[in-house]
Amino acid sequence: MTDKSPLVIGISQPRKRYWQPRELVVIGVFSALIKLSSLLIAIAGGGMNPVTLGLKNLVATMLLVVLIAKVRKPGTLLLFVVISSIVSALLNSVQLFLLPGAIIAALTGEVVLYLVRKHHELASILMSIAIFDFVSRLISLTLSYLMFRESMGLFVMAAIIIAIGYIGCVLGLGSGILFTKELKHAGIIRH
Amino acid sequence: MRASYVTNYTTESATKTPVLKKEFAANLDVRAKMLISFSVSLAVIPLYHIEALAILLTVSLAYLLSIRRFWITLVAYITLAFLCGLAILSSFMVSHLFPNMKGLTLATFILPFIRIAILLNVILVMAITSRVQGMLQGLKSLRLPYFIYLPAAVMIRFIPVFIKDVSQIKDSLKTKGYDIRPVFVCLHPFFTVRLLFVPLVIRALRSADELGIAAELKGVGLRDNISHYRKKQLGKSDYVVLLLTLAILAVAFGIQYGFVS
Repeated sequence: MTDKSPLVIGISQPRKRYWQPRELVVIGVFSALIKLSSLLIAIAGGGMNPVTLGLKNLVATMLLVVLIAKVRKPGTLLLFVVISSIVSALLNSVQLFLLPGAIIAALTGEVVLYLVRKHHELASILMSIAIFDFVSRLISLTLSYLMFRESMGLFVMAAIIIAIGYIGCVLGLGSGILFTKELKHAGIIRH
Repeated sequence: MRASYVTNYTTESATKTPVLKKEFAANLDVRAKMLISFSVSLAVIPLYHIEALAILLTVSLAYLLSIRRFWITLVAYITLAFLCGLAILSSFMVSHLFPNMKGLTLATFILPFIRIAILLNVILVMAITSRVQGMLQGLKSLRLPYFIYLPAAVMIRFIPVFIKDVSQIKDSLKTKGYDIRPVFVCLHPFFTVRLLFVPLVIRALRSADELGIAAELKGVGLRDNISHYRKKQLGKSDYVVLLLTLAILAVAFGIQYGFVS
């Protein structure tokens, strides 16, 4: 049916959007899932011990791999970070201070994905997430240094926590590959 | 179908949620609570004077106690005290391992935790007394673009649904003989992921597909303007509480910089 057909005369055509509602819903659902799973692991693990700390990051990265494998579009990582940060800021306004750092990290990941120009390949998605995780940890470390520069003992503890978290992220990349392959096999991810 | 399940959950949760209408904090607009939380979180960073922080701690604790959720308050404070103790112990060990890091006083350690306690008080009030609908209205009032508003609204709406899902998965695991406790999580972390999160992710993907199709069928995203079903304005009590917050913050800064004795 063309634009001039009798059925569409007089009706303004809806604008073609870059983001389809279905993709936005997937991003929203996964943002909720990632936020909730991090919280649940922290509660289920009985607080901040190294195992739950690593596990929390592992699950978050694994779910992020699944999300970006499901919505393979430039900007997904950035949109996910912005939405998570906005909702976190609604719940806890302190999170607003972390927003610029998170956006810088997500932009770095997106730039890498753009330079590679292979959005459909799992390897480039993994590389983009790995770089996002690394840059965000680096920014966290810098912020920790600024906060605890007077007491280096606390900074060392913060650095250890960030390092354990990053190990979890690296493991999460591996489990993300396995998970995505399983979901592809089950027909839930169709790319 | 999933959509009907979501609706059932909403009505069910609405009846099960404890009634907080008697407390004044429950009647405040979510935007007022967000503004309180934001201004307090901004203020605690430059504040370092113990008396100024003590005033904020006292007022924010009174704000938290006004909602009469004493058990949650107690648990939150015990957890904070435990974390504070753990941090002091860890820093003490680090200062023994690296002698050039010595020279820290107890006050240096306590001040960050007073800041955290203040933030905990205001955030707990917001978390306990705000409903999903109120959060969505707050989000709408920010006038964000469609591609940010839609996923953010979905995210807020789905957090309680996933909490319900997790409890259902935990119940089903109990019937199979698995009890997810802290020791179990620490001893079998990967097995926990397999047991708890694989079903959760599959449910999430199905929910996302169904909700996405429903959104497309309802024409979500076809037009730029979002029409408001109900517009909520800030009330008199919201303005009074916001002014009080500003006054208390001004007093705290006055004490720190010597304008108020």
